[in-house]
Amino acid sequence: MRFDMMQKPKESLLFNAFLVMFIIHATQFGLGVAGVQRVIYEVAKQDSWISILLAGLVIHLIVWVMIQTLKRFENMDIFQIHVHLYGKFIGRSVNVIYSLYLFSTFVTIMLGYTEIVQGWIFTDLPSWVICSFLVIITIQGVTGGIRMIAGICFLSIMLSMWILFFLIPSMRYAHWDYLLPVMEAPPKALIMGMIKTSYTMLGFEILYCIYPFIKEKEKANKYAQLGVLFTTLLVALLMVLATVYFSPDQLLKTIWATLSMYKIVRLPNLERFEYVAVVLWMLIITPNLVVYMWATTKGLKSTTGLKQRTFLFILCAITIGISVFLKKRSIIDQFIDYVGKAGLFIVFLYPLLLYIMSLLMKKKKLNKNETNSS
Amino acid sequence: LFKKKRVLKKSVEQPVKEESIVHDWQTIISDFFHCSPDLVRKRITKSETVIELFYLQNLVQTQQLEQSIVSVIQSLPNEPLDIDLLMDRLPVGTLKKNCHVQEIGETLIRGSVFIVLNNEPIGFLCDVGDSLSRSLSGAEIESLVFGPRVAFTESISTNVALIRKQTTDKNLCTEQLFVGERNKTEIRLLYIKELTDEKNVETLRQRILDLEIDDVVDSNVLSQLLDDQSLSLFPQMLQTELPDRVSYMLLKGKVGILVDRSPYALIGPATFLNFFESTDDVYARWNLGMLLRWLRFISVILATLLTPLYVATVTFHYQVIPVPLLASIGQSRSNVPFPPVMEALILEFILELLKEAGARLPTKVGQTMGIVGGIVIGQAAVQAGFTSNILIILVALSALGTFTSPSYIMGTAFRFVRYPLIILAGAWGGIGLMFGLIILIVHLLKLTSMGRPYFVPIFPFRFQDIKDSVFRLPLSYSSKRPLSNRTQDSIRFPEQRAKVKRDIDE
Repeated sequence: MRFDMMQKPKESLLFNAFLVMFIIHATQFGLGVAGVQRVIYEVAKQDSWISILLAGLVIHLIVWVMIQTLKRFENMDIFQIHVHLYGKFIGRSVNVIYSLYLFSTFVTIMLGYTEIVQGWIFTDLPSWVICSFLVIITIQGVTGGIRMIAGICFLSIMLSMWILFFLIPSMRYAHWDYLLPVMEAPPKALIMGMIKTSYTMLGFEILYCIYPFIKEKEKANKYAQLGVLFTTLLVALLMVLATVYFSPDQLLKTIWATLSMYKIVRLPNLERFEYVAVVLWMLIITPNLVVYMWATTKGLKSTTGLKQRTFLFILCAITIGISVFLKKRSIIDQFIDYVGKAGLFIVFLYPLLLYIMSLLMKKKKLNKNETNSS
Repeated sequence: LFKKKRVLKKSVEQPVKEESIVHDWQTIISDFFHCSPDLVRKRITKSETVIELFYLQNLVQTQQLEQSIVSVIQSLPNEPLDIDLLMDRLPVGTLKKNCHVQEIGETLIRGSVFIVLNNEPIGFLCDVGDSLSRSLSGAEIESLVFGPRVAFTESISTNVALIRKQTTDKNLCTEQLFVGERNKTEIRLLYIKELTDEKNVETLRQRILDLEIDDVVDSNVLSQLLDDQSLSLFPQMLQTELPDRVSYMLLKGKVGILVDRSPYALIGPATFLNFFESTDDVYARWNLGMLLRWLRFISVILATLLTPLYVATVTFHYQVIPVPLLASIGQSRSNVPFPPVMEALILEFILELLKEAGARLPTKVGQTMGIVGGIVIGQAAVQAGFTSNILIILVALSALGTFTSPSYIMGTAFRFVRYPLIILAGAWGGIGLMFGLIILIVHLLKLTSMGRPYFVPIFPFRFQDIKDSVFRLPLSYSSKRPLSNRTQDSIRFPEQRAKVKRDIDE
């Protein structure tokens, strides 16, 4: 075989387990958060925050399953596991599909942010300019390697957290009774709300790719769960804030609820805080872009054996190409929709499948070994 | 880049023929120096022995030469002399037998006298060099409010002595290395054995030994040669002219470098935050020290951001500015015909000119600069409708901000980081500015100094180190050496003892 399966990454590439928390949170928390509230509110109304918490619970479970799977294959990422489980041909095909999914997510994030910028600040700035910015950042980030990507996640969270505190002034206009009555939504609406939430909370699947690089693997579960918990609580908080801030009718019409809440903030020397928010959102999505691109190229590398750098440049060129030629809003929306749906399957259901597969395969292999030895 | 410079062909060493008893040292040495008029040959005949002295004029201390060599030889009793006997008699500290022309020549250049008897193939060197150094003086670039004032000089022996005086630890090593194919320069590697991480020392030693260059001009040049990323704008080694700072850093587990002929010591591996630390923070009370350090951080951040933010908001996002402020900005900008980018670039450029001219001018004319700057920039530019008043305030503030950095090089780096940011902000507003900042942050994350991360302790996050880099907590809290230096002995003093709380009236 061309690639050594059980090869452990170099010691100097490993990072501390607590950084997993930051990577997972930074990857989950991104573009969706800017406007997730309306989508959930459409189905679950004032109980939306409950669906978010429930969705969070499901994610905790899935992360646990993922860790259990990964534990069975020490030092392997999902791409190597695929080849190991399914054999060379099918495994590699699955890898390509998985990488394609990761890359599509990358593209949706990029297109999504372009849309925000064009909607809020520069109506006529061509998409390819914004995309080129993001692509340059991505290239610079990915070439730094996994440890630096962890650093980008960490710093991005540290440098953008403060913006949450600027939601406090808008809470002067909060009507807390908008939250009542609690638990009015029927179970079906709650479940629909959960599904809508999950689009936003995608990103923890990256655990599959970063796992081999964690220094203390036994702590990975704890910190991954913490990262997910943090995201869930943050999204729930933003949901609650949006529910009490907007009137029900208004929230249904507000596409980017989180950003809209910043409109009211007024400092002595600064008004229209949403401009700051939109600009800062670039820092928030930087880890998303870098992590997804890194994972994509990593996957393609372990499938084809070509250099990661080559794929990085090819994919970045493709992205800019997409931004130049894909101009129709409806197509972009449809694309984002498809990717979200695919994500739902790949991220939420596939880990369970993979876990079961790994259990079955391991047994088969063990049996084979026994027959061989006897 | 420089490391790949061509190796200069060394002149082939001329082995001395051992078998020939009589040796014409006069011709050999004068050949070596290409008949230099500086080469002096002195003959003293003592009974049957002919003693010859070779030295380079101006490089030896004449007084010492006369008193402790010439007059001693002349007053020797008339008895048969040989080389060992003579070496015993001479009251000079450093004596060394040698027979290789190459080495002898090189030592003569450093101010030694070569003494040979009866043209024997072997002679000896004695060091009576004039160190030609200035006396110690106070620090000028890194002047401190508190703390010792003495600064390094251009003589490496003085500098080593200064360090030894500061750090009396017997484990202090001052390893001697030589770099430079043509201009052989002495370099001293300073570290404390059994404390400093051996790997750091090894990396530095290896990098210095691997250098193939004709001449290391100065420690600043050496630091560029040792850089991990030579294309970066940011310095990757700390430079200081203060012996107390070097000693403080050595005890924290860093490695120091002294270069002959350079009044700056290098300290590595440096971190980004090191450049904003000053020993003043350590000497001041902890709370004052911390405030001062934070003042510096804030001023550097403001210095980088103020002008680009002005450009971005005034060009694109004027909605962000509250109406009363917008009115005054509009009023002051109403006479200005340029777009904000041009306005900012022009003003920054003028200020840059003033700074550079001020640095090059002799101090006597320096006052003129202040007047020219104050009047031209302060008044005339505004009245002529060149720039707006508000921008002048911002530019002046950011100029002050970059000067607060204790490291001049770091301040300069931030001065120049501003220009791309201004242009990006002028072209694409906040989005462009944010793009520039993210690139800057990622770049800083990527940098390494001697293979160690540059952005430590922020990333990789080292909680223990934060309290003596980002913050400056009371001394009793920093009982351990920084984790990021990977010291072999991490404990400075027992933590428990420092934190014992006595009960009332005990």
